[in-house]
Order: sequence, then C-alpha cells, then structure tokens
Amino acid sequence: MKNLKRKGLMAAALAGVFAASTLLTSCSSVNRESYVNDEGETIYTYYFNMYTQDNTEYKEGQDTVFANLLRDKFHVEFEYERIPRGDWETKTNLAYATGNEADVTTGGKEPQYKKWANEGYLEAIPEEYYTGDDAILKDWANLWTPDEFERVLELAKSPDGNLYYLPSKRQEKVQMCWLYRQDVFEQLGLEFPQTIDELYDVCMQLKQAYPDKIIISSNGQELSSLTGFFQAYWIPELVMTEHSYVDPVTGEYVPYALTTDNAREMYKTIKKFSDAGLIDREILTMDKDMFSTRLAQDNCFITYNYVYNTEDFTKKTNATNANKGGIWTWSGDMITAFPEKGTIYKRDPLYSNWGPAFSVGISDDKDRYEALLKTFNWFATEEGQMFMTYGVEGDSFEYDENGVPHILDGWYDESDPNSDKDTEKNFSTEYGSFSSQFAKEENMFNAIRGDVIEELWAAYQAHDNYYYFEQIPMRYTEDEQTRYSDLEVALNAKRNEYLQRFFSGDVDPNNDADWNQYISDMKKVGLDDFCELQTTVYERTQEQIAAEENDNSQADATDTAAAE
Amino acid sequence: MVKDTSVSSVILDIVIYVVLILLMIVTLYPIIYILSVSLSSQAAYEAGEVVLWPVGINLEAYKEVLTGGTVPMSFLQAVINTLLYTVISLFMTTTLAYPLSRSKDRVPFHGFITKLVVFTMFFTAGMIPMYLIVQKVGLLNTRWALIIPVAITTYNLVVMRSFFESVPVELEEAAFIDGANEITIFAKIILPLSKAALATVGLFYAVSQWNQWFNAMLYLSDRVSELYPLQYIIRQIIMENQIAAEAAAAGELTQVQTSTVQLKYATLFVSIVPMLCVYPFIQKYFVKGVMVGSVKG
Amino acid sequence: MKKAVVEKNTKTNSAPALAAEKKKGNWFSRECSKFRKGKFLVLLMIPGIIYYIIFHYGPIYGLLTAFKDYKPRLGILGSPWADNYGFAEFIRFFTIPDVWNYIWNTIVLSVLNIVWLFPLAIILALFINELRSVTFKKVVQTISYLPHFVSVAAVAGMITLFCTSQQTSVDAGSYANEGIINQFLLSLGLIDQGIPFLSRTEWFRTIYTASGVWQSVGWSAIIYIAALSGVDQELYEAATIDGASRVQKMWHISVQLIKPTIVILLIMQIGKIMSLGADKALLLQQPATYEHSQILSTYIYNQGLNQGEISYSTAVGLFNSLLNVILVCIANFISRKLTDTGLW
Repeated sequence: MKNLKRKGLMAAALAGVFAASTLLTSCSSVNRESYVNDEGETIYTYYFNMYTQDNTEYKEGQDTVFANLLRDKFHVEFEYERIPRGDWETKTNLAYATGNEADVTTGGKEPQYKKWANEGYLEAIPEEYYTGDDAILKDWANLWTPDEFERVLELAKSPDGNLYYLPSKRQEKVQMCWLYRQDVFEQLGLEFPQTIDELYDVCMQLKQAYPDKIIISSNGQELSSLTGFFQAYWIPELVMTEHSYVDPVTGEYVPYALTTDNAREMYKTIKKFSDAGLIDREILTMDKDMFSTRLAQDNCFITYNYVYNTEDFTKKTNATNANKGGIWTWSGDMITAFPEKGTIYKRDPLYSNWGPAFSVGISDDKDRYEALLKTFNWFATEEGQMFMTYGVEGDSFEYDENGVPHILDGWYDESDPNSDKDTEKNFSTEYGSFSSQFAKEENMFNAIRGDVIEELWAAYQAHDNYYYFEQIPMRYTEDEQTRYSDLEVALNAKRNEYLQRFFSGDVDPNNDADWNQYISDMKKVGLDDFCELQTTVYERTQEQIAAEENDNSQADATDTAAAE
Repeated sequence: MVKDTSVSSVILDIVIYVVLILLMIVTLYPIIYILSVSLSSQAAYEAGEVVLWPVGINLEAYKEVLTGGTVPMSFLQAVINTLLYTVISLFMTTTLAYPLSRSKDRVPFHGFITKLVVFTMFFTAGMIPMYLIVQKVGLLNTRWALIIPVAITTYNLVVMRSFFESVPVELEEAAFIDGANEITIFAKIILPLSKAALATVGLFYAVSQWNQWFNAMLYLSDRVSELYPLQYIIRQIIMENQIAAEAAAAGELTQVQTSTVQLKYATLFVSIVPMLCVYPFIQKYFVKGVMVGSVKG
Repeated sequence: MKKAVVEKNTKTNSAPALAAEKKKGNWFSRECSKFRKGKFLVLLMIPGIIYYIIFHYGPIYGLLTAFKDYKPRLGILGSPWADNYGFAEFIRFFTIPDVWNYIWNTIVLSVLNIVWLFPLAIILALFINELRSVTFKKVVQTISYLPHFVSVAAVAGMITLFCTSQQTSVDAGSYANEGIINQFLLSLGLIDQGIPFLSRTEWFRTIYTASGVWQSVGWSAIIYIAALSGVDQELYEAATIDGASRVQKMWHISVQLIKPTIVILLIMQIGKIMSLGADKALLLQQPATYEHSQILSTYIYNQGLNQGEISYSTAVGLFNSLLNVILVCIANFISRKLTDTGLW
C-alpha cells in the first residue's frame, strides 16, 4: 500500500497497461513437435484444425485404432481441434490472426486458402512433392488423370505459381438435374420439357390442374435455387460466386455475367414464370425445413436438384399420407432457351477445396513435414481408401466370394438407407477416424450414388450439343484480392437486391428505365472497375499458365533428351 | 391507493386491461407456438396443421433432448457458470461501486476513475485484442474465460453505484460517531441495506451469462467441449439448417445431418424454463432494488 | 448518478479540507494525498480497477492494428505501418461506395429502436403500475419478460415463418400458402394480396423494430416498474385530494419521478447507437432489402472477421467507437443543461 501510495494509482495503471502490452508483443505459442517413444522412434506431433460438417462425435485420444495406425505407419500423431462449420471462418481466422494456428487446417474454401497464402500464413507445397513417379504425394496426384491434374493445378495455384493446399478429388462428375413428380406428370399426360417455352407450357398445364399449388420450388439457400434458369440462358450455375465465364461454344470471355442483355432476357423469363404463379415466391430464401413442408403439401412438382435426392423427396412427399403415391424422378434432359445453340448442364468441378493446408514453418523440420505429407498421400492410396471407407477387415467389413467388400451388420453403412448412424457403430466413434472426407473406395461410392451419377452422365452424353462451363483459373495478387473482395461485396449486395426485386415484381426487367437503373446502380458500386480487374487477372493468368506449360514441355523435352 | 370510481378512471382501467391482454396474446403466441411444434409430430408440422395447439402429441424430441447428446451436460455447465459468474460479478461490482459512490474527498482519483470506467461502456477495442489478453492471462479453454473477462458490466456498476449513493448519509455518519470503522459500515450497514440491489444486479448478471454464447465460441475449443454452455449448443442446433443450405449452395457437401424442427424447439424451450422459474423468486427483491438504485438518478 | 447529493456532501462536510488541499498543489498530488483517508476504500477498489485495466484498457493497445499492416507473425508492434501515414484502412473504408448508406441505416435502426422501445416500455410500466390485482400484475410482468430469453436466431426463424407469402390474391379460394400474418390480414380483407414482408424494403425497418420491441419491451419495463413501485403513496393521495385525475397523476407524479432514470438510460442508449449488433440484421435481411438492412456491423461481419481482415475491421470498429463517444458526450452535455441529470 505504501509503495502504491507513493507512485500513485495512475502510475500503477499506466505501468499495468504497459506491462500487458509488452507481454502481448512476445506472443507465440510453444508446441511440442516430436517426441521419442519407448522403442526409440521419433514420433511427430501436429495440431490439426479440422472442420466438422455436422454433430458427428469422435473417439478422442492417441489410443484409437486410427491413431495407432497412423503412428505405426508414419510415426505421426494428430491433436485435433474440431470446428463446426458455422464457426469455421471466425475460429480459423482468429487462430491465424493471434498466432494460434494449427499445423494443419482443413475445411476451407479456395479463396480463403489463397488469401491466407497471400498473407503469408501458409507454406507452399514444393513441386517436387507432387510431380514425378517417386514424389511423396504421387497417389494423391494419381487420383486424377494427368490432364485433369494439370487442370487442377492451374485452378488451385496462387498467383505466385505455388500450390498452398491439397485439393481433394471430387468423385461426382455430375449431380444436378431437373427432378419432377412422375405421378403427376403421368396423370396429366405430360412429358418433361427441353426448352424454356415448353417448360412454361408444362407449368401452365400443371397450374390449371392444381390452381392452389406452387409448381416450381427448390431447397437451395438464397440464389442457388434459380440456377436451372441460369443454365437455360447459358449462364453458369456458379455465377453467383464466380461472376465471370468463358462461353463453351464461342470462347467469348464475359467479365460480369449478370448485367448482360442475355441476363436481362433471363430475368424477363423468370418474371414471366413468377407473375403466372409458377415459381415459389419464397424460392430465394427457402431452407430445408420449409422445403420439406412444400413437399409434404404437394407444393412443388418440379425442382432443380441433386439427382440422388429422388428417394428422399418421395419419402417426404408421402410423409403425411402414406397412400398419396407421390413419386419423384429425375430427368436426363436439361432445359435451354437457345435450342439451336445447344444446352448447358453442370459438370462438377474436378476437386473440392476441403484442404488440407499447412501453416508456414511446417517445413522447418523436413522429416516432420514429409511424414505429414506421406500421411495425407496415404489417404489416397487403395489401402487408405479401404480403411477410410470400410474400416478394418474382420471387424467392420468382410469380402464376399467375389472379392467385394461389405460392411458388417451392426455398423453404420452409408450405402444402406435403413442404416442408422446414431444407433449403429461407426468409424468416428469406434476408430476415431475422420471418415467421409476423402475419396471413397469405388465400390462404396457406386453403391451410395455413383451408379445414378453414371446414369445421369450417360443421359447427358447421349444428347447432341450438350455443353458445360469450365472453371476459369484466376490468380489474384494480394492487392487485387483486397480490391476484388471490396468490389465483390458491394456488387453482390446490389446484384442480389435487384435479382430479388426483379423476381418479386418490385422492379420490372421489361421496363427499360428499371433495367437502366439496375445497370447504373451496379456501375455506381464499381461494375466497371470490377470488369477491368477481372479481365486483367484473367488475361495475366492465361499468360502465366501458357508460360508454365511452355516451361514444362521444355523440361520434358530436356528430360527426354537426357534420357536418350 | 385511494379508490377512484369516476368515469375517466373506469375508462382508463378498461384501456389498460385491453392493452395488456393484447400484449400478452402477442407475446405468448410465438412462445406457445414453439412449445406446440416441439410437442407435435413431424408429419403434422409438415402438413401445416400446427397453428396454436400441438397436433399428434409426440414427446420424442424432449426425450432426445433430455437423455442424449450434449444438452444435459451443457445445461449443467450453464447453471454452474451462471452461479459462479453471479457471485464473482456481484463481488467485483459491489467493491468498486461502493468507493465510487462515496464522497470525493475520501477516494483518490474519484472523478478520474469514474470517467475511465464510463468510457469503456462506449469504447471497445474489438475481438482480437481481447482474445490476446484472455490468452495471455491464461484463461483460454477454461470456464473462467466466460466469467472473468466480463466480470463487471459498466451498466450494472452504474446502477449499483447510484444505489449506494441513495443510502442516506445520516446512517453512515451516525455509525461513524458510534466509532464504527469503514469496514464495519460497509459490511454491517451498507451491504444488509443493499440486499435488494444485490438481487437486482445479480439477476441482470445471471441472465446475461445464461444467454451468453459468443465468448464460448471464441474462447473454448473443442478439446474442452464438455465446457460448452447451453446457449452455444442451441445456437449450433438452430444454425445447422442454414449452414447445411449454405454448404449445399457452395457445392461442397451434399449430405449434412440436421435436427428436426421439433428437436430445435424442444431445446429452445428447455433453455427458457430455468429463467421462467427464477424470476418469481427474485421479483420481490428485484422491484425494490432497482427502485432505490435508479430513481434518484 | 446522484451527483448533486455527492457534491452537496463534499461542500458541507469537508469544504475546509478541500480548500486546504487546493492550496497544496496540483491535481495529482492532491488526489494522492487522499490515500491516507481512504485506505479501506482504495483496498476495496483494487480488484475492480485491476479488472478494468487488464480487460478494458489492456486491449486498447490492440487498436494499433487499425493503423498497421498487421501480420500476426510480426506481432502488433513489429508489423509495418499501413500506407498513407497509417490511415490506409480508414481511407479504404470511406471509399466504399455505399458506406454512408450503411452508417445511415445503422443510425436509423438504432434511433427507431430508441424511439419505439423507450416510450413503450415506460407506458407498459405505467400501465402495470396502475393495475390493482397483484396476481394479474405478476402474470403480465412474467409473460412480458419471457421473450428476452428466446434466442435471436429462433425469433428470426419464427418471423420468417409468420411473414411468408406467395402473394395470394384476396379472391383466391385458399390462403393456405400464406404465413399467419398474411392469412389474418387477407381474411379480414385488409389487403388485396399477400405481402412478402421480408423481401420488401419498406417493411424491413418495421419488422426489425417491431420484433425488437416484442423481445425487449417487458425486460426494459422492469427497471421503470421497479422505480414506480417505490413512489411515495402519499404523493398520490395528496394529488387525489387536489382533484387530479389518474391520467394527470400518471403524468405529473409517476413520470416525473422516474425521469432521472429515463434520462440516464437514454444517454446510455445514445452512446450505443453505432454499436447495433449484426446478429438480427443478418438473420432478417434479404437481398431485396439491402438498401435498408445493410448496417455497419453486418458489413464488418461480411468483410472483416469472416475474411480475416483484422486491421480493416479494427479500423471500422475504432471509427464506430469514436462516434459513440462523441454522441454520448453530446447527449450528456445536453441532458446536463436541460435536466441537470447526467451520466457523469
């Protein structure tokens, strides 16, 4: 007290603030990176920020089947922090911003990884680890064909030409198509349409038969639900997030899709459907629960959705009345507004951006880094896929006489609709493994959805003049990224605002004044700047990729020459 | 109150009763709706049959909430946090509010401290700096991270201070003359007189801790998921749907398990019940407490 | 809050002492000299002051990030200064095309909230105070405070459900596809067509404010109810003898007595105008209503932490806080002039 008295409370206060500040500047966490076990082997340890997509529970600790397997095989141990989807952005950004990042992070979206890479949070994965026949990540690379893999790299690389995370293979070639109520169509003698005008006629006939019902609805959040209409007008499904595209037939580059005259035609059509009461007025804000009630109340006969959802929709349609006899089925035809030009369907991307990404500094200890990469490569090997998909032979699965694996009774079987994840044993609670986030073993994939996807794929291929949009690689520098995200937020807000207002009849795309107002509002929030930025980046990236390919072919030529 | 039977008084009574009854209907309807949905069958809900009362009574959701999963544990955690927080915050608030309510010439830097304290009510530094402090102090991933960093709410401090100010000075002076020292005065005179204020501010604190989820998200990691309080779990359950839809829109995940509406609403209702039970007990203190504290400004 | 009384005490009890101290020198040493007298009080204050220093003033140091090109690896001090003498992030903020619109929306929603919630809570309190049945009083109070415990996400979910609309015409046979509010309005014939409330710009503020009032009117009224119940009954009786009506008594006695409380709470509210939370706006906004529903905090949410832009969101937060402090100072000043009541 005496001491305090002399110094004065304020001095103490200032000293306190100062002390706190000094402490903060020296903020860094000390992680244990490896230890030596009883047998004298070095075991590497890693912190792993893993996202969880639902409320799956995991068996924790280092004595699970999964943990033991990884330790025996690769001498690695993971300590997980599992982050629910809804908190992912906040928690991972907070971790990086405060120096608490984990060694491995998964669950990102590509722009997020690229942004972190720009900020210097992530470690570039050296090319020698994924090119060549004895590269550590060769099994991972071999998930794709060489051509596909080249394409994956083009898209996933950052502007400095480095890869900062490991994309994961997407096994679904196509997933989206039009679904419709087969029983209702048959009862009225309708065929599923192929052009937008035919769709209108069909909808009108349905409306006449069921004047109180809503004809087209969708369970997508916000804007993704109108994508069937986008594609009819040759605008890519992902336009809401990617803005620019290259026309698959003409090769024309469009820096901003939703302000073109073509987009206006599409808005007019959507309005026509909406005015006639053919589209759910709530389609832009529909959630899963609301859509379930739509189905149960026969308030949806046509929807654009995942092909493998038919069974689920049928079940929901009949939920309130088992004798209703509602049947959902999918159509192998897409709808187009330009029948002469052709039809667009959605080809799914070659990869998803689940990750993982490795934090900067991970390569300081080369052995530790390589052990980690080997582990992630293993998930792509046949052995790894078998374990992640089927577990342990004799415990969770067995091969039948044809050599086909089958999940044993009492275990959750994703391919069996009657299997219940909550009551039956599953890999996450029994083995502690993070199942379902890597490429699945083929048999299982086909059993779950692969077969119907093949059918849909075949149906699309059977048509002439069916096209899909290729993703275009865009590599933004740090400044461009900031500029891009500022402009994008402003433009998205304006665009979404008008999309919904066009849709609800508040403003009318048929009316020149309204349309010009839309364009001028978009320009006010930076449409022109955005187009310029997108074009610059697009052209530069194209050049960069061309140069890389040139380098590669030269290198190949040298290799061949050297070999000879 | 003197009985007033004039016409204007009767009209006023009628207006008051009508307004209050309307208000109760408007307030109660959504809450009854939550309860009814949570008690109805999925099919009845989806068919749009639930309007006011439950249809096809179904207690499954409550069974699931109360027996399985994370809700019972998080409920317990929320109760523990709320109790601890209320006690600690009351202590901290009282000990700071009391000197600040005393005469300026007995408390060094009285005005300066008051201004510093009030300033923090409107000026905040943001999430990241706060996170760094919490980390530095070593509270991350402990229960205390939900308690200590928010131990004093300036609003409550101001309420408490003005209560102490309104305790008649004469009481204190008389005690001084009787030879009591500051400690005795605070412990034997001021505090007993403040039971009401303590109950009031205590309820404010308890409610704020009960409704708290954001700090739990920031400061608790999944490694200590057993510490998650109820409101954080509720948020996860309620947001699930939206997240699933967003994920589907981004084309990244296709099958996310979500809870039924019944389960969501049942959890929600379970979270309302404790506060519903606490209020009547505290009501009589509560009313007097705030009165003395705030009426004098 | 009870400044007048404190000052009076100071004057009567210790005027000589104070005068003596004034002679002794500057403010700092004068304050220090009080330590002897207030030993116990100082001791009491220590936990609270340490708390404020660590958890309220400690983080303020982090505001430096607003002026830095913050790189976590380099630490706050180690990060380079941002461009434009450290003001790059502020300049970036003010060059956003719609920034003034966001600020304006924030202010409008906050002010609407104050304008509606404040009087309604007071009226509710006055009405409850007039009730003679104790049971009814308790029931009303308990019910009206219930919504305070329903999470915002659930409230938003219910609003969405109740407000849905397929814009069914009033002549249609069935209103089954409308939300409950539209069903009600249509069946009374008040509207010709279902209104999609949530996707109409002009309805956003109404819905936002109304749901806010629904959720907090009972909770906010509690403090006034409490204040009113302490009013000396003799005052009312005297007024009755003077022939005052009940409405007059409500105005001249009840309202006047809780006026200081109202003023203090109002000042505190004004100091929070810019801090309107993002939660509810995010849950209730739809693209069509952005013109009214984009507020600063939703913008920060979308642009700041979700994108990991630490410096930027800190800069915007700092701007917000400064505005808050300015507003509260103005409010406090005006209130001191007009009502002689103030927060400090």
